Amino acid sequence: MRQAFTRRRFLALGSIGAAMGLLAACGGGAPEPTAKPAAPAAGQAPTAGQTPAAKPAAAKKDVSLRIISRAGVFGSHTKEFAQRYAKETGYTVEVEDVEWGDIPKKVQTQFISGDLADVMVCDQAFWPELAIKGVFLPIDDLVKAKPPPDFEDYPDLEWQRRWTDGKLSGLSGDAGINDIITWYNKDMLREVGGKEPTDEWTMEDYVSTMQLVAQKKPGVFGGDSSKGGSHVGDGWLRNWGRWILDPTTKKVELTNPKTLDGVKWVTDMVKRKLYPGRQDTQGTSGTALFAAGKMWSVTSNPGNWGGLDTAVAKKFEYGAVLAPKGPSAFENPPRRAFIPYANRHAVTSKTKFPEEAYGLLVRVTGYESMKWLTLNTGKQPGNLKAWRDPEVLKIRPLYAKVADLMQKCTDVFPVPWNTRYIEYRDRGDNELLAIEYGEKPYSDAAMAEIEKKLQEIVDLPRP
Amino acid sequence: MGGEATSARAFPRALTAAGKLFRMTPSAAREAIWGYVFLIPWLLGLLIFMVGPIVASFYLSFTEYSILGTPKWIGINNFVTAFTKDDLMWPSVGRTFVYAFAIVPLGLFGSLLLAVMLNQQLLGTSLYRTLFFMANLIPIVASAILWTWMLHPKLGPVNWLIGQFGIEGPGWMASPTWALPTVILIGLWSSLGGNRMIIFLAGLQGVPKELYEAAEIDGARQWDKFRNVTLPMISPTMLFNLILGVIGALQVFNIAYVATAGGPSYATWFFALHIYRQAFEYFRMGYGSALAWLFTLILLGLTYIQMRTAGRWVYYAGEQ
Amino acid sequence: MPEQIGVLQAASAGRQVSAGTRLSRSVGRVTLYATVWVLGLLFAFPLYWAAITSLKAEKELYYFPPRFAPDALLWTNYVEVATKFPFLQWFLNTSTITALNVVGATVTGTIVAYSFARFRYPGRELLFMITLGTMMFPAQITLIPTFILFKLLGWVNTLYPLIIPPFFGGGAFTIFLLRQFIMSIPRDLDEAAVIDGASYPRVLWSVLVPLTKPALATVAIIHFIGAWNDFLGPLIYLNKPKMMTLAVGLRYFQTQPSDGRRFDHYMMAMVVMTALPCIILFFLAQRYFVQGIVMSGIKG
Repeated sequence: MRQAFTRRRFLALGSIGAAMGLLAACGGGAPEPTAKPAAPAAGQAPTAGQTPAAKPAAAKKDVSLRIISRAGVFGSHTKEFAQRYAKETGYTVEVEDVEWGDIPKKVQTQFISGDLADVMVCDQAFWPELAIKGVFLPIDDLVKAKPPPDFEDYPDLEWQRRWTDGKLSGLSGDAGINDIITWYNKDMLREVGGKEPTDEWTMEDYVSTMQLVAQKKPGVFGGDSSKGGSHVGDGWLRNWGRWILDPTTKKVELTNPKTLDGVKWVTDMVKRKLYPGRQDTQGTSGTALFAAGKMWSVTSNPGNWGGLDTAVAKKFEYGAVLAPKGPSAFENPPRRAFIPYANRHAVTSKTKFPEEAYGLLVRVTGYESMKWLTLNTGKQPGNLKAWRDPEVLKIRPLYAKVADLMQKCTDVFPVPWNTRYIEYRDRGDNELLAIEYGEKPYSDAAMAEIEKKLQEIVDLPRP
Repeated sequence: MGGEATSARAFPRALTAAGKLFRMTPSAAREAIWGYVFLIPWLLGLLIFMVGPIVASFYLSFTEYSILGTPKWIGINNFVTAFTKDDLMWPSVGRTFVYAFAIVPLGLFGSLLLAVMLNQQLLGTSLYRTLFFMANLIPIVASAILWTWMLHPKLGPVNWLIGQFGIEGPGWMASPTWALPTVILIGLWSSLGGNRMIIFLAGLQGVPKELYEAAEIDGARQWDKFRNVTLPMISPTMLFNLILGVIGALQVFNIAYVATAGGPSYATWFFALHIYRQAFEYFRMGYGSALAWLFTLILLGLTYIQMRTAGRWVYYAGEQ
Repeated sequence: MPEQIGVLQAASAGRQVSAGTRLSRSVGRVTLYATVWVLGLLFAFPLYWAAITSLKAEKELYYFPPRFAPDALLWTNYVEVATKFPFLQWFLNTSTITALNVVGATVTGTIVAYSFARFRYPGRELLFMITLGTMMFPAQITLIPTFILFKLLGWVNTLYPLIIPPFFGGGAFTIFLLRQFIMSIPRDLDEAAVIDGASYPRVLWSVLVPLTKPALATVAIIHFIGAWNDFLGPLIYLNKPKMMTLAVGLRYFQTQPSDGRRFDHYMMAMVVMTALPCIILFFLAQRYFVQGIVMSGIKG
């Protein structure tokens, strides 16, 4: 065998390999199917797009759209409705599945290399930095010309305007509030003889039940909410009446006594083993602990509901209520929900088919798509009308109250005004969490130090 | 195929001219030209992919560059910041050194040990070699995922196994004190059976048997043989592996990026990760380039020291 | 060393090899085998874990304590991974990039090494030192400018940034290895061919390359594994899902969905499928691999 492997063989294999490679490389770099001759036809596009299935032949102007979709179940509505849109309009719609965490970098790379998709979606936390880079296309005119159905039901549109000179660029594809729903183990509750939680229950109720669980079932935790440091953790801490990042998103108020109360509370919960520590949730999530029966409850955002049935797999019966009310809920005016979020889809600024892309945007984020998403996958919708839809309420009765809270919420999503979200979050995750997990001792001086460093980041100019 | 005759016919004057210029005979000049010709791919690659980018990054290190706009010249400000204001930088350098000081010696001696074992003419050596090498073959993302799951403090098999012996397993990657040792362990798992081991194996096989026989005649016992014959003879291999090992270890990035994101609480926040964060996530490419240069200087310094002190312990058996 | 302990006793008992020595030598041998097996299993255990996890059903992933064998062997997991995700496409992309990488590196590496090994010209030593010196620069230095370069060439989102650079010599280590190897081949063979009228390219092709095969195999294997598992490169340069490689495709599975579901079984199936080609290749070709390094004298 060794002798047979002559140089001739080597050369032959090598050239085949090279030829294959060049073919593949050529194939991969092939130009997108005919995106050129659309300019004059674009004027006629709006009417063609509006009457679905009426004249698909009119779209022989070769409109081709690319839409970035979140990989996995969360993005299933994007794929489904992109395909429906394509069928209805006759356009070519190509869906690019991208893993959620990679989307901001991918979009930026595409933007730099001039190869940006027409419609995309991203995590709200990264919206500001992409917005100030000019990635999004303002759609105010398009909205005025052809308002989406149920336009008023898109939550929290105003927040976007601060990053794009007051203009609107996106429509939400999934929305909710962080840490607003608590799921709890009914069987375990019965076992320990605790009081059934209601939507009006308080932190004291919460803690006392968790204590009961800890007493009667050693090794099992009581509950978990987002601790997450400076960004995600802000939502939970606002229960105590103040915040880490203020509503102007320019000032860090970590050392406000009310915020400190919250931090101390969380640290205490971890110390008393009512909340899981870092080692207990590493690599997984609180929800996994809950599903494994190792934690009595878990508090999270509404999207969490989607996979709970599979995760719990009928091991126990569980219920859902609104999260417990903290001190701020009793203040005047009562504040209940804190980090409303909406992950938005947007038309990108480099698109060659703005009206068609806008049509796709509306189709994917519309009430029908949202309702489909929730009914088919259990994920939370982005449009409030879907939140309140009777069919949705049949499987998610709590959604009605959450939708109300979303509309009444006045709090601001905590991303610094200079869009330096990652740096802000990293600093908080590494330093604040260390204190909450008890790895570093709590002290007012330590908190002041962290606040100073976070403020330094927030004080930087926009990149 | 042309022969000497053809070339000589084709370029007689050029060669004699070149020869006169460099004081070479025409055939020597011809050899030199061919030498350069064959070198072209590498020279081009050097210029395009090494020299060019290095010069560019040197320039960038004196600028403020956030990808969005154009680089803005700020002189040595980046370097000043690195030495005075960046509170994450020097700890990250220290951490990286701790990692390197642990993994390089352990890695060297571990690989050597494995190589020695494989050199004992065992039955099924190729199987064992593959078993050891397998860890090296897995892409780093896969290793990270695998180990994160295996080392889960509460739900993973490792701690469960340890628990069977009555010991409570540590927090591994979720513990600020254990995260760094865990990363070191995973690094060792991944690399012990890898290229270094193969290189040691080659080195061991290259030791002439006569030396062992001569030592035995002098009454040497096994340990003496190892210490006085094997070790010196493979010391050049050790130097080679040491230098490459240090360079590789100081650049540790993948595992920290994929598995721990530099945490918990900065426990695995290595220098390479710090550079990456600054350049690609905190909008400071100019600063990132400056840090990369500081890193390079440290690396070059260390390599120089290693090569200088090599004379004291490396024994070349009359080669080179 | 276990074996050496046995012989140690023999040496102290005198130079004659007695029956007792033979016994302790066997004991030493057995200990050696045992150690090797234990170590081998330690190294291989995570892969075993990946393999059994890949055959589990999703609900088994939530079990605690963890099971060391799946309830049923769900081979369908592999089918699902291959069909629900563009696994075949990724496999093809990875293979293409790897094949070209191997070809480029071995061919151009040999040419460049030939120059360093056999030719005398001014500046040769300096250039070789520079070559070694490039190994000392961390990748971070060239990362950003190289990306900008490829962007200017319009090569972002193509396979070119991943397949063209190896054609420039294949890297310092490859050149170093091949140079050492060629230097160990006696010059007389070259000279004999030259006397017969061979040109330099012919000498390389007809005389040196056949003798360099072990080193070529080594280089090929190193580049195969490197290209197959490369992560950062494809991550930066390949944007479209259908262009991705296996290493990057694995990222799809990496984030834990926030509803607590796990996809470890799919992830592990992909891990196994990604690692398998390299493992098989190494197992079959390891003799060449070691030989190549042995005969190159790279130990010095």
